[in-house]
Amino acid sequence: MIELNHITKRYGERTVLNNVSFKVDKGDVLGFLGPNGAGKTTTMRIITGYLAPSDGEVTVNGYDVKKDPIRVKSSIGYLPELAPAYPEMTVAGYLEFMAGIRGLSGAAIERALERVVQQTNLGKVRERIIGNLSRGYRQRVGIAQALISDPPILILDEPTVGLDPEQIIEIRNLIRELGKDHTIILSTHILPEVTVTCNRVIIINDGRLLGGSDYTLSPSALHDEKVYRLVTARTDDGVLRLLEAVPGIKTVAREKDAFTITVNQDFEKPEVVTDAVFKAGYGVSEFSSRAMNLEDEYIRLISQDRGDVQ
Amino acid sequence: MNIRRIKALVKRELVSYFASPVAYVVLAMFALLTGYFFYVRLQLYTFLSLQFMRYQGQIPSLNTGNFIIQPLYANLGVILLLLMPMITMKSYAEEKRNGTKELIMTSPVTLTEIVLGKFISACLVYAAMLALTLSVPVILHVYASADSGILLTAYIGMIFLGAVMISVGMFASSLTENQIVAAVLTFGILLLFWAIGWVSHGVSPAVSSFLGYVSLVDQHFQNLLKGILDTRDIVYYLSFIFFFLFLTHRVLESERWR
Repeated sequence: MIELNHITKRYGERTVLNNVSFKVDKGDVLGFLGPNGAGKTTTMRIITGYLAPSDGEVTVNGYDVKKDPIRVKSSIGYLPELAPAYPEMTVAGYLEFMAGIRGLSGAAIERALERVVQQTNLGKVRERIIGNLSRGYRQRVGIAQALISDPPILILDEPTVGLDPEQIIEIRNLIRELGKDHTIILSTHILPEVTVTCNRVIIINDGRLLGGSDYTLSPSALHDEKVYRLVTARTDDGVLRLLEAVPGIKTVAREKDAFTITVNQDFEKPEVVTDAVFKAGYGVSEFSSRAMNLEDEYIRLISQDRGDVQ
Repeated sequence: MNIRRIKALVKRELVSYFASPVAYVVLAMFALLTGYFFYVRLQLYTFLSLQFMRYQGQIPSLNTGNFIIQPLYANLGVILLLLMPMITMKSYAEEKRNGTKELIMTSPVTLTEIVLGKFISACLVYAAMLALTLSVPVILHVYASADSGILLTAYIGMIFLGAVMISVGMFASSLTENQIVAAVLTFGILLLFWAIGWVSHGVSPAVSSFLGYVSLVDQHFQNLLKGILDTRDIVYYLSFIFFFLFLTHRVLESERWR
């Protein structure tokens, strides 16, 4: 449904996106994950036609964003970062305006307004001035605006940033609900968000997608792996190589004072790990296991990208 | 081009013009200054008329056209030069600062529709300003039997002069996200075009007549204030407006590539 082919974006000398390609299928809720400044917003702006890529092409529903911008834009509802809106307008006035420039008219505008006000629970603030609303309401107005023309695709840039925990849960529930009949791309730097709302995840760092061009992670697949944390007296390359040589271990990542070891769920002899360390003459001060979570995968990919892991 | 979308854009622009005090202040000041200048001119005119009645027939050139209409509307032009940047400065600059530009640009609206929508809205605000001055021609026509042709061309001149200023203001506003910068740029560009004919003495006749033609007021506005309706002046104003709207369109397009 959305396809990015070798997208590169340069601002002068600086390359913000470097050869990014990925595909989003109909019905996907794609989590777009990465540290701040990694290129998430730029990618979204390119998909929505706000920025033109320096290289590469984007197609949405089979239409090229460059050649058919109006058709592409009609099929996308977009919540830009920080949910900008006209502060001097009322919620209803603003949503009617957004419906108007999205080509609705007359009774259709009224119906759309009723629908999104209900969906995003804005009934109480309908006639209030946007500039006087709280952060949470403004975010909801931003989502309502994205939904107003009932587009098949939603692109949400950091939809829960700046909200309090209760509001975050509310917005996540809404996104999950919307995910049933929309294709959604959702960017965030908050990991749990992705685990609860998305069926696929891609990770971007420093303008590049991590884990190779076809890498996608489904949060449910994480349960296939588990993680051991190992604290030893020494964390030098010797220990690292030693651990990597242990059969059954998939990856070893080094943090400051510990190793994070990923194994398959069916790995049943954790003692071989400690044995190997003992045999080499090192002590073990901590060895614990837990289920793999997205954070592990994220840290693994990011540190791999920086070149600390072989 | 889709009229419905332009209408939605215009409606929103007008809501936000009149949601802030700027439009009201500009309207009020324009009405006040118009009234003041009209009063001053009218006073002088009545005074001189009474004087001249004593020397009947000796001074033929005193009439409402050259003594009230021409100087008054020339003065209003100068006032516009100062007030119009206040109307236009926010049009793009504010959207950039608020981030709402991203909303508009990612909506299924063409750049032409955006440019026209903003231009039309500012013109409507200006139309309200002009409407507030309509008591002037009514009074002149009813009580001083002023020539309605001259009044009509004077208003045609005002309409075009204002529209030209708006097109320049739109362009300046599209260049920056700072409204003050937009206003200063607008004022600077307009003043330059206003006074560009003044260098005519130090240059060759060809250059001088060209500069006179380019000038906002020297020939075109003056002609209309004298009651001369010449298609050359209309063509000049229309091409001026088109040129700056075109530049604005280009600026918006180029921002996608930065």
